[in-house]
Amino acid sequence: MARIIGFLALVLGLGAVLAAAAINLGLSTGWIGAAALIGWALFARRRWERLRATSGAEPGGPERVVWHRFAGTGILFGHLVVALLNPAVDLHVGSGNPLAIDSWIILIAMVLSAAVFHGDARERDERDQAIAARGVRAGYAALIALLIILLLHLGFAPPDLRQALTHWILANLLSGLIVASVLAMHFVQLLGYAPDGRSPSSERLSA
Amino acid sequence: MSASPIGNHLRRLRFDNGEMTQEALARAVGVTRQTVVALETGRYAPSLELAMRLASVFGRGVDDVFYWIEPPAPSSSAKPKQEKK
Repeated sequence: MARIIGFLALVLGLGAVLAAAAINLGLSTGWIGAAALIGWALFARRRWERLRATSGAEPGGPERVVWHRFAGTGILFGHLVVALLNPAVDLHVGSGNPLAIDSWIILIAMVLSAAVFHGDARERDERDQAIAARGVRAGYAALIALLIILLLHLGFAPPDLRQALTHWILANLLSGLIVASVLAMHFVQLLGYAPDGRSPSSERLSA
Repeated sequence: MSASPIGNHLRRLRFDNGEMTQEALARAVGVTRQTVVALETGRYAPSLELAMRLASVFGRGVDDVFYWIEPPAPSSSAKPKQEKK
């Protein structure tokens, strides 16, 4: 679990730094995020192949895909949170800042890395489906919980606080909630796979 | 995933059947090798369908491959009703 939380902190931090750099320097940093994602994907693939050859504790195809999506969603969420903390920044494409395009570039890199660089069969068996279903339930619960918090805020927060919530900011907030729930889904799925990395997988009878 | 209350002889059976690899067994029943590892280490209890497929690979019955580590206590509703005299 510590490994997953550490990885989450890393990708959230990277997304946040990329957004902060884009806001303060006016540079498009989505390409850096995309390059980091693809670079990590290639590194992870090599590491998993090494694990396959040495301990046999490498993740299977479906778990690899979850790791890729978790990395990409984490960067996206970190990026989005920092953008939302700067309400003056317009996230529209063509609004004079590169944040929206950066988000799309990171999203495309995530889809690409999960589709191309996983390096194993992606078909889920019944155990993968059970783990995936548990993640979906967690993601759904997270989405409902976050929506309730937002609804309470919209209904009961002092008027001056609510005034800041323009339609545009609300739309971005809702996007953020969806990304957060997807992140929760992948997190729980990785928790389901976590014992795999700790168990002996030796072919030997005595193992 | 918590430990399953169902144990199995998969590892022993693999080796009794020409030292079959986990990969070969996984391919024979249509799951990933990681699932075979999870089964052998008692972290996953298979569906009835997968249990029957695994047993058939070794030409055995499900009972020959899987067993209760700790049988569940019978529920009161499962007990046969006694006739009132």
